[in-house]
Amino acid sequence: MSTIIEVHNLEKQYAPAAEKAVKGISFNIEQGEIFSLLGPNGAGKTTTISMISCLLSPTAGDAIVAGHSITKAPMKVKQSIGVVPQEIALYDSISAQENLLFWGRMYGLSGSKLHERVQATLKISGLEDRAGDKVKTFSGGMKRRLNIAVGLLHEPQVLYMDEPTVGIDPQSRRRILDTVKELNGQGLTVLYTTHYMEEAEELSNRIGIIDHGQLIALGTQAELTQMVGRFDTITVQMDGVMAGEQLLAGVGQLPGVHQADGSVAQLILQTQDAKQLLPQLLNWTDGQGLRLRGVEIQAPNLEAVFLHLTGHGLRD
Amino acid sequence: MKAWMIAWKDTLVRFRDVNGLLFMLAAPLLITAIIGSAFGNFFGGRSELPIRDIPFLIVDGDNSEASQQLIELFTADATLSELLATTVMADLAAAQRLVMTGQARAVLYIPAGFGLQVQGDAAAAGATLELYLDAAANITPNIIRGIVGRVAAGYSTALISVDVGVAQVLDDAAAYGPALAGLQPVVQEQVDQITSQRGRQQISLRQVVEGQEQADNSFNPASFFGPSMAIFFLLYTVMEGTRSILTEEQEGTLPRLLTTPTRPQTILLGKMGGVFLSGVLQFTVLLVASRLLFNMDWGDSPLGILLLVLVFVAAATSLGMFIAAFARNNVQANIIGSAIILISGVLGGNFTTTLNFPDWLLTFSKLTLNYWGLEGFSDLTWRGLGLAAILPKLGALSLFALIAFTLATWRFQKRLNR
Ligand SMILES: Nc1ncnc2c1ncn2[C@@H]1O[C@H](COP(=O)(O)OP(=O)(O)OP(=O)(O)O)[C@@H](O)[C@H]1O
Ligand SMILES: [Mg+2]
Repeated sequence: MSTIIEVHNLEKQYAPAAEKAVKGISFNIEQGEIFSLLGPNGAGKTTTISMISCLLSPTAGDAIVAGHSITKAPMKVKQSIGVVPQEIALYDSISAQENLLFWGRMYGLSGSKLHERVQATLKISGLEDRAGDKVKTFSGGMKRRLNIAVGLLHEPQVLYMDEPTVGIDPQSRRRILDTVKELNGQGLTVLYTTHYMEEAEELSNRIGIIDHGQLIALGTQAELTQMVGRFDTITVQMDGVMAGEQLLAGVGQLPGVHQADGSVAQLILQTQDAKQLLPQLLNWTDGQGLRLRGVEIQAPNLEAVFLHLTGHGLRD
Repeated sequence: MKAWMIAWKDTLVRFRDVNGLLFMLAAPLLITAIIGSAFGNFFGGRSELPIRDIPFLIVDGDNSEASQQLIELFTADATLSELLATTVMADLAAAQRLVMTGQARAVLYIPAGFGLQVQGDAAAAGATLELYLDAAANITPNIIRGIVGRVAAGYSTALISVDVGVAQVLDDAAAYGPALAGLQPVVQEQVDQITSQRGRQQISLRQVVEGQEQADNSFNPASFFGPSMAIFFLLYTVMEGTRSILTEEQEGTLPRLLTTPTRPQTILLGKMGGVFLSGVLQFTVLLVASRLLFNMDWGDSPLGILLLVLVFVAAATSLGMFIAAFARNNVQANIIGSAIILISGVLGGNFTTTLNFPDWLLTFSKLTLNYWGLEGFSDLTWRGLGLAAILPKLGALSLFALIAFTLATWRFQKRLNR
């Protein structure tokens, strides 16, 4: 495998006084892999993608994409990448096919090649029978699929997908995830960003976890979960009145508790063996007059990794 | 090539929008039809233009009984005294100065010897009245010419000669109001009598136009408001078109375009080209439709009209780009753009003509595209002038276009390369 994207210490500061949105990120993406950037809202995913799409110029650092520097040869980089923006970017008042024809031309396609690619991408997105309809008559899921189709028109070497499943129904999401896997199966390298742990887990060969503009962990799912490998996560929801500090101090005394976060409404515990801890935990909460509403036990996953690394959850 | 594709895409988007099309095409045609039929002569309808109290001077150089009688004719008649605010002066030079400075519209000079010429033995030599008109005004001189012709004719059916075609003038004058239209039968009768006594036509009315001679074409409301409304609505279309670059910025299609291998300059050129294209298309449709529907006269210089349309749309596009480039977002651009359209519509004379604007106001008018565009179209249409006459207007518009275009592209390049 060869490296197709090398990111070196990329930084972005939007305004002179503002905090840096991206604070020196470095990673490599290998040819043929699906690489995910996983992080919460405002982590800097879109900013990073925008820089390696040559849409934003970095404040510092550089990246080599398909052999070309984003700062020195942006046109060559743009030729090699397909970008699927987070917000749907299509022309509403013309048809799906007219959109594809237009964007195809912007990618430098013409003639029979253009028409061939328009048909192919319509097929990939499953919109063949709606090709002539105006985009504004499409459902959210259909727009998302067309949004992706545009990024595939010129058969790029790498496809950037920025949260492509935000705000759609489970069916459309399933379909998009399957499409990503299928395209990757045909050899397409994918850079995928999401704040859904499950998507990153399902799709990725490797995952970079990003928070507050920094890459805080990088590796395969197995490598990452090993960071918290010894711990199960118990999430408990309760009714009752008790100050957060008092609660955390109390459960912290229980044997086998590695870390405790949260409040009465949602308490998150890290422990070596959940089955052993649970009866004692319930005993204790009962004694404190707290009523249980729900309990969830989770073996080590990316959510737990994120929590472990940052002390807060992926979703607010 | 890509710029052309972007331009074409924009045109496609624009012409798919039914509301937009109504606004672009139906509204200006409708308004032209309404204003035109309210003021003037499509559909053969004629109604009143609110013109009254035209400042008019008479200088009596004769001081005879005959001249007094003639003056009385102007002041005694109720209709006439409503139309004309007549002042009798003694000093011809002073009166002419008032006309030159725009304080009066015309001077009727009754030269010494008029009474003798009319009544005495010298009658055979012919009597002459002199009429000095204000060259800067366009409507009122025609009316005055008509009135003086009529009064002179009424003064003595036997002794008249007016070197303007009286019937023709009255016909023109009638277009401006029923008051004048009512004069027609009376005068016609007199004119008939004159003609039957051809040998005795002896008063001749000599017209002297003060200042630069103008093409002898009367102001025509329909052919003024056609181009006027076309210009006014074109500005809206163009502003909306250029704002689409901000819409694209907000909706993400502009950033997406910038991730394709397409240069920012190409994108800008394409966006401007699209606006220009729809603008020219809109103007052409309006031109053809007004010709076919209202039989509107667009003059005798197709090349002049073509150049004027192209240059005007280019200037408007550059202005729109300029506003879009410096506005923070679409909403702000919309507010600024609409304000500029309205203000320059009023200043540029889209609703009133600038014909009666005082000088200080004209100075501001000249800062608007509307003024230069309208002047150009007026030259070509109702003034009946040719290409040469509009060259200065084309020059002014091109200058506007160049300045706005340069600043807009400079600003956008900075804005796109973040
Ligand atoms: N155009 C901008 N101007 C100023 N600040 C910005 C701009 N775009 C993003 N930011 C800031 O940069 C930080 C990172 O934003 P970014 O959009 O890259 O995050 P993200 O990981 O994509 O988040 P999300 O999951 O919500 O899309 C945020 O604090 C955001 O407020
Ligand atoms: Mg984002």
